[in-house]
Amino acid sequence: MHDLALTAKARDPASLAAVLFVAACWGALAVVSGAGLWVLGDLLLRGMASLTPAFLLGSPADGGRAGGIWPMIVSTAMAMAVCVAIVAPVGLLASIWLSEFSTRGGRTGAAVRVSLDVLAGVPSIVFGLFGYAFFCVALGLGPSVLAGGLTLACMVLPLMIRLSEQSLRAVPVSVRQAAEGLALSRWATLRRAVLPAAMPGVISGTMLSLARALSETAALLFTAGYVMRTPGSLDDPGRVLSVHIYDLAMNVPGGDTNAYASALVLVVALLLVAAGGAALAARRAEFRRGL
Amino acid sequence: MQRIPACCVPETHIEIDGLEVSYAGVPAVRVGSMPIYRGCVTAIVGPSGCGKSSFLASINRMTESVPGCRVSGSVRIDGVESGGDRRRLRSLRRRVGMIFQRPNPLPVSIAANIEAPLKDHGVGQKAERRRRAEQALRTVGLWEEVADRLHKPALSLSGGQQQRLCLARCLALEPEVVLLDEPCSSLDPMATDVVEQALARLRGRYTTVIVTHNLAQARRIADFTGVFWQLGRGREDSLVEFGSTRRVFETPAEELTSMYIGGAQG
Amino acid sequence: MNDIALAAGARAAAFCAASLLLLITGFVFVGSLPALQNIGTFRMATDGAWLPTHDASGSFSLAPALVGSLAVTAGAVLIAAPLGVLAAVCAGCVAPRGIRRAFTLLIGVMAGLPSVVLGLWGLTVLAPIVASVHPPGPSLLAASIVLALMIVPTVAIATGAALGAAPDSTLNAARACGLSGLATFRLALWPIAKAGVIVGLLLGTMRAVGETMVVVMVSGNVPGFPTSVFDPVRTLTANIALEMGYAMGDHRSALFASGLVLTGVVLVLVLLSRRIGWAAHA
Repeated sequence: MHDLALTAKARDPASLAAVLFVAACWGALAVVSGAGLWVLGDLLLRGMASLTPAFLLGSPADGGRAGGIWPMIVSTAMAMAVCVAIVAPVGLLASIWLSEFSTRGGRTGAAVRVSLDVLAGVPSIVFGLFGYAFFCVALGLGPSVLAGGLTLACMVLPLMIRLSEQSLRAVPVSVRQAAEGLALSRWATLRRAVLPAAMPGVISGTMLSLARALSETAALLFTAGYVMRTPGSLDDPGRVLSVHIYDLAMNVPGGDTNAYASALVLVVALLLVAAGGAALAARRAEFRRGL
Repeated sequence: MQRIPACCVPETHIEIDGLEVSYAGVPAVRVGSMPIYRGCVTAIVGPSGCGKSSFLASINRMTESVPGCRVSGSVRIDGVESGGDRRRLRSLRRRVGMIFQRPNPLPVSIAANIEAPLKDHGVGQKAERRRRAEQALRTVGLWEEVADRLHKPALSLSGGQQQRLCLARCLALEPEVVLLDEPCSSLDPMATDVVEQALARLRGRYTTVIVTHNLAQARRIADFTGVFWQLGRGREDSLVEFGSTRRVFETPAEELTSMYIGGAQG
Repeated sequence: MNDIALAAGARAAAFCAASLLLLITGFVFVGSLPALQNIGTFRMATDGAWLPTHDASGSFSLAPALVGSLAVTAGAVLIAAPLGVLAAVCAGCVAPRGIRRAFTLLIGVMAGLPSVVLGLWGLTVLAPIVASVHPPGPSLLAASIVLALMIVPTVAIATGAALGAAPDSTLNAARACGLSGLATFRLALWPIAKAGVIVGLLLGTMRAVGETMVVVMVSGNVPGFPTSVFDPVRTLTANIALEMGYAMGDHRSALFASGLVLTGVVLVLVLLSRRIGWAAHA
C-alpha cells in the first residue's frame, strides 16, 4: 500500500501529535497481534495434547471426555455436503441472474440485492429458529443432518451469491464482446466465455461459503441434533464438530482437553478449505493460460 | 514601460549533471548536463515515453516513492545537492512545488487544501494562512470564482478550477521552483487557456519547468526549451537540444528537433 | 431454447434467494405470534424481569436481554474500533513490508476462527483471568473482550481496504507538498477512507449483535440489568440458544419474538451501512 512513514522530528510543529499517533498505531498493532497469537498459541498447545489418529477415528466415551470424534466428523461432512449441494448451484444461478439478466439500476435487481444484504446480516441463531420451525417442524424432517445442512445453506447463500456475482462481474467486457461478436446465444456466451473465465472466483466463493458453514454453531444447535452417534443417513440426527466443542466446553466438566483438540481439528479443516479454494482457483487460472 | 524579466540575465538555478533515472534497472532518462535558469519558464518537449516526466520527478525527488525507481547523478539547486533524508525531502518539496497531469486536490475543502499544508509546515497563525490562501487564489485567478464557497469540497470544482487550486496550493507554500507535468493535458481548451494565463503570471517570480506535449504551448509560454528523445539506438543522452525557445523552434541545430517540430506542426 | 431455460432458472434462483428473507421473517413472526397475542409487546418491554413459564403467567420482559445485547456489543465495538482501525493504519501506512504481510496473514487467520473456538478460549483462559480481578469471571467485560477479538479482523480488513482505495494521485499531492506523515494521513487518506471504515464498524457491530456462541460461553448468562462490567449478563441470542431446547408454549413463542427483535436491529444496521456506502460513492 502506501509507503509513508509517520515519523516526525522534534522541531516539526505537529510533532507531538504525530509521535503519539504513531505510537498508538504501533500499540494497537501489538495488542491485536498479541491477542491473536495468544489465542492461536493456546489452541495449538492445548489442542496438540490429545490429538492422535485414535482421537480422529475413535468413538467418544464418557460424555466426550475420552475417546474420539469420528461420529462428529462424519456428521459434519454430511451436513457440509448437503449445504454445498444446495448452495453452489442455487447461488451460481442467482448470481448469474444478478450479473447477466437484471437491468442495471432496475428495481427488481435492487430489491433482490437489499434483501440479500439483510439476509447476510441476519444472526445465525435466527437462522436456527427458522430452520427448526421450517425444516424440522413444518417439513417434518426433525432434527437431522439434512435439516442442519439445509439451514446452513440458507445462511451462507447470500455470501455465495455475492462472491460469485463479483467474479462474474470481474470478467472483462472484451470476453463478452468477443463472444457476442461471434453471434453466440446468451447461453453459449455464458457457457463458453463468461463462466470459464469466472470459474476460479466461483470455486473460491464456494469454498469460502463452505468455510463459513463449517465454523457455524448456533444455527445447528436445534436443527442438526445433539446425539453423538454416527448418522446412518441424512435423516438421522448428528452432532457436528462445532456443536461438540460447545457441549464439551459448557456442559461436560473436564471436557476441555478434548474440546481444544476438536477445536484444533476444526480450525485446521477450515484452513485446508481456505487454502484449497485458493489453490483450486489458481490451478484453474493456470490451466486457462496454458491453453 | 515593461519590467525586464529576470530571464534576460540567465542565472543558473538548477543544475543537472549526469542524471539517470531507471526503473527496475532499465534506464528511462539520462541527461548529461542541463541548466534551468532562475525566474524563467523552461519547457521540456519530446515524444511520449522519452522520460520527460521521470526527469521532472527527479528534481523534487518524487521518484523516491516509485517502487523500483533509482536515481543517480546530481541535481543541484542553488548549488546544493537535492535529496537526502526525510526531513530534507520535506523542505525540498516545499521549495520545489509540483503540479500533475490530472488535477489532484486533497479530498477536503477548498480552503483546507491551501491552509492545511501551510499549517503542517508551521506557517503563521490562522489569519496569516487565510491571507496567504486568498493571495494564492487571486494569483491563479480563482478567488472570484470560489470566494463564496471556500468550505465546499475541492472535488466539487471543475477540472480547470481544480488544476488552478492545485497551483494555488503549491504557490501558497512560496516555493522557488514550480514543476508542471503536462498540467493542461486533461483540460479542455478553455480551461487550458485560463491555466496558461495563471502560469504566465509566474514568470519572473518562480523558476518554472513545464513538461508538455503541446508545442504551441511551449512556444507561447516558455523562455527556454529542452527537446528530449527516447534512449537507445545509439542515443546515450535523452537531451537532444537545449536553448532559448525561439532559437530551438526557429533554427533547430539537430535533425531530430526539426523533424519533431516539423512533424508535430505538419 | 437453452436461453429461455437459463433465464428462467437464473430468475427462479434469484427470487428464491431473495424471498428467503420473507420466508424467514414470516416463520419467525408466526412463531412469535402466540407471545405477541398472549403476552403482548407492552409486557415484553416492561415486565421488569425474565422469569418465563409455559403460559403467559410468567414474567416475559425482553428488556434485560436487549440491554445485555446492546451492552456487550457496545463494549466490543468500543474495544475493537480503535484497535482495529489503528492497527490497520499501522500495517498499511507505517510498518515495514514484512510486518505488514505477517499482520495481514494473522488477521486473515483470526477472521476465520469459528466463534465457538473463541468462546472456548474465552471460557477457559480469559474468564479465569477476569475472575482473578473480580469474580465471577464470565461477565459483560469478558464477553466484550472476546467479541472484540472476533470483530477486530472485520474492522481491520475494512480499514485496510478503505486505505488502499485512496488514489495514488491524491497521495502524490501530499508528497509534492512535502506534508508530514500525519498530515498526509489526515488530508489525503482519511477523508477517502472514512466511509469504508464506518461501514466496516457497522459490519462488526452487526456481527457482535448477532453473535451467539461467544456470549453464551463467556457472558455468564444471568438475566438482569448489569450494574458493573464484572456482572454476568444474558443477551437476546444467548437467551434463545439456552432455552430453545426445553421451552414450550408462550415461552418458546417469546424466544421467537426475541429473534424478531434481533432481526429488526440488524435490519436497521444494514440499511444504515448501505446508505453510508452510497454516500461514499456519490
